[in-house]
Amino acid sequence: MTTNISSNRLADLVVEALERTAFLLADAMPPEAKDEFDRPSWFSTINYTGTSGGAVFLAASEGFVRELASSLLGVEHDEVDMDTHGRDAVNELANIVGGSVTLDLGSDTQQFSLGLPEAAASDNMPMPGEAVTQCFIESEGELLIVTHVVITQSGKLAA
Amino acid sequence: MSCTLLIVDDSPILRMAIKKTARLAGVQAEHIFEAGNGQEALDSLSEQWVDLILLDLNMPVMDGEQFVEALLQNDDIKDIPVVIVSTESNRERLARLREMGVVATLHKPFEPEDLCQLISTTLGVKL
Repeated sequence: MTTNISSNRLADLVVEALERTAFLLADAMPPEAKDEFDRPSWFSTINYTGTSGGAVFLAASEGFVRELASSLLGVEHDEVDMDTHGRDAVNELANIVGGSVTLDLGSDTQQFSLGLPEAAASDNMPMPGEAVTQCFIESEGELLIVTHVVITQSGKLAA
Repeated sequence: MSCTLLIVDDSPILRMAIKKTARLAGVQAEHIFEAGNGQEALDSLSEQWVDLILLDLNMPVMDGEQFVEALLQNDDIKDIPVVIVSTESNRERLARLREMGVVATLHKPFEPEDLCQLISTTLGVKL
């Protein structure tokens, strides 16, 4: 039974979500390249339960969120209300990536139930570890970090 | 194209994106209605008929599955075709919804062309 996902596969799912949903061209990049970008200031997460449990965390730079919302809405950057559209955009991306991850983990053999996306605190972002997969995405010169974590039945991160 | 749509999704920005695609498909803006959850959708349907419902599943207050159950209890609106537009991957849940009469499922993320095609096919009209 597959409970985790590779970094490359996670990046593929995120790039596909961005291109299909928001027409954003995006590329995976090595972790060390993240230092060249503005630091993430928008955080969102979504949990899933089922045969195995887990969560997807998004950490995005302000510019990325503005670009995403602008593309989804079909409006200029300066027309985006970040408090409403920005939060909604990054939460919806978490929802879509969460759905793609559960589908990829094997909906043929496993049953998952996806929760609702919600804002996350920056200090709740999981640190790299055995049960943690991370990918780094660049789009329009902005940064998105996506993290998938396997959660045990006791609710703790798998060791 | 003269048809009416109800978009049910708890994400306002996704509703706007779907609405934009539907307009590109030829549906007039004033013929597109929105609801943020199943209960709001039922309230909307009590005020106007629509030809097609595009339904998210994971929503607060009343989720998509509860909405379909409620829809089927109402003779006035139970025959409106419902298309699921969701991140849902649970095959049992999707199969249960198909048995309840849901006509199609579109998995997010989707290409706008896929949505246009689905609207066209479901309503039997050429876009």
